[in-house]
Amino acid sequence: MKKILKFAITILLITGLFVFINRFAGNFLKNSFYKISAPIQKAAWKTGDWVSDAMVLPFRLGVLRLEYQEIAKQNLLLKEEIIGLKYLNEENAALRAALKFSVEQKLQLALVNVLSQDSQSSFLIIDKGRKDGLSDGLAVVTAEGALAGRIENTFDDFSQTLLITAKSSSFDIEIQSEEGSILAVAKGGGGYDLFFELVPQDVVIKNGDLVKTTSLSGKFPKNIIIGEVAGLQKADASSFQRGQVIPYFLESASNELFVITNP
Amino acid sequence: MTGWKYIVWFLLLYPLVIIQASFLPHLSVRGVTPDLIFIVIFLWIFLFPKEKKFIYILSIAGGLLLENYSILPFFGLSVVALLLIILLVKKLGSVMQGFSIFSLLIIFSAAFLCFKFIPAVSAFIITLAQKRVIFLPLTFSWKYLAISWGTDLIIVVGYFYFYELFYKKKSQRN
Repeated sequence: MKKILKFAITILLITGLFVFINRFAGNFLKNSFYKISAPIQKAAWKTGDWVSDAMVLPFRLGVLRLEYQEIAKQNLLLKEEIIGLKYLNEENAALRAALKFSVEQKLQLALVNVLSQDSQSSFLIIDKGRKDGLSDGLAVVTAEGALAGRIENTFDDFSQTLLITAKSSSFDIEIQSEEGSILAVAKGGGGYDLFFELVPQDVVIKNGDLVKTTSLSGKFPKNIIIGEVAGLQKADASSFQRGQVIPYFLESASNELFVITNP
Repeated sequence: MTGWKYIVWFLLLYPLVIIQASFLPHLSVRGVTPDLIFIVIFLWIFLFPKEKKFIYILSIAGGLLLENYSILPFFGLSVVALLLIILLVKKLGSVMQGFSIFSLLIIFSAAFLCFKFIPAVSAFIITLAQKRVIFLPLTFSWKYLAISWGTDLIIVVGYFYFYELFYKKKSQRN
C-alpha cells in the first residue's frame, strides 16, 4: 500500500512538473540548453563535416573525375548560352525601360549556422532566433539558393527548421518541363526523400526537369530552386503521376544557411 | 561511489547527445543516425535490471536531454517514453528469462517501437484534446523507421557480444 502511494505521488509530481514546464518554461529551457551547448555543437558539426569528407574522399576519386569531365562539358555549353543571353539581356533591358517595369524585389537574407539535426533528418537547429528577427514560417535556403526548409519553431536565440524532406513537410511546387510550368505538390518522405504528387497523367515530365517553389499557399516565396526530377512513378489506376525529386540542398557542403527575412 | 556514478553517467550522456545531434548526421545512413541515448538506457535496463534507482534517474536525465532535439510541441514526452520502456523491458525480461540474442532482439524491438511511437501517440492525444491534431502518418516513414531500427540494433548487438565476452572472461577469472 505504501509502495503504491509512493509511486502515485511520484507520478503526480512528475506530471505536475511537466505541466508547469510546458506552460511556463519549455521554450526557456530549450533556449538555455542550446545557449550552453552552441559552441560545442558548432565544433562537433564542423568536425563531423570534416570527418565525413575525409572518409568519403578516397571512395569518390573515380566519381569526382567523371564529374569534372561532365562539368567541363557543361561549362562549354554554358559559355555558348552566355553569348546568346547577352543578346537577350540587351533586348530585355530595352523592354523593361519601355514598359517601365519595376526592379525585381531583392530578398533579404540572414546568415545562420547549423548546430544539430534530429536522428531522422526531419529538422535542424540553427543559431538565430526571435532576438535576431526570425519568426515561424520563414524560408531557409543554402548559400547556392536551394530551398532547405522552413522555420517551424523559434526560441529567443535559436530556431528549429523543418526540412523540406521531413515526413510532415508538404507544399506547392512548380515543375519546369518542356511543356511549360506544371503545378504540383511536394511531400517529404523522411530522411533524404522528397516526392512530387498530383501531376495529371497526360503531362510529360522528364528526369532533370527543374523544380521551384510557388507562392500559391504562401508557405515559400516564389521561384526558389528546390531540385530536379529524378524518377517517375505512373500508376495506371491513378489519374495522377508522382515521382522523386533530388533536393539540391543536400548537395550543399556549407555549414551555413540563409533565412529569407522578407518573404 | 554511487554518487559519482550518477555524475559520471550524466556527464557521459551530455556528450553522447551532442555527438548524436551534431556529429553523426554527417555520417548518417540515408539521413538516419543512431539513437545513442536510447541505446545506452536500453542496455542498462537490459543488462543490469536490478539497478532500479539508477536506471530511473538515468532515463529522466536522458529523456530531458533528448527533449531538446524533439520537434513535438510538448516538453517531457521523451522522459515518459523512456520511463515506460523501463517497465516494458523489465516485464519482458522477466517473461523471457536469461540473456540470449533471441530475447535481446524481441525486447529491443519492442522498446524501440515504444521509444519512437509513445511520444508521437502522446502528442496526438494531447493535441486532439486541444483541437490542433498532429497526425501520426505525417510524422512516420516506415522505411526510415526500419533503417533506424537496423542501425540501433547493430550497435546493441555489437555491445551485447562485447559485454558477454567481457563478462564471461571476468567470471572465468573469478
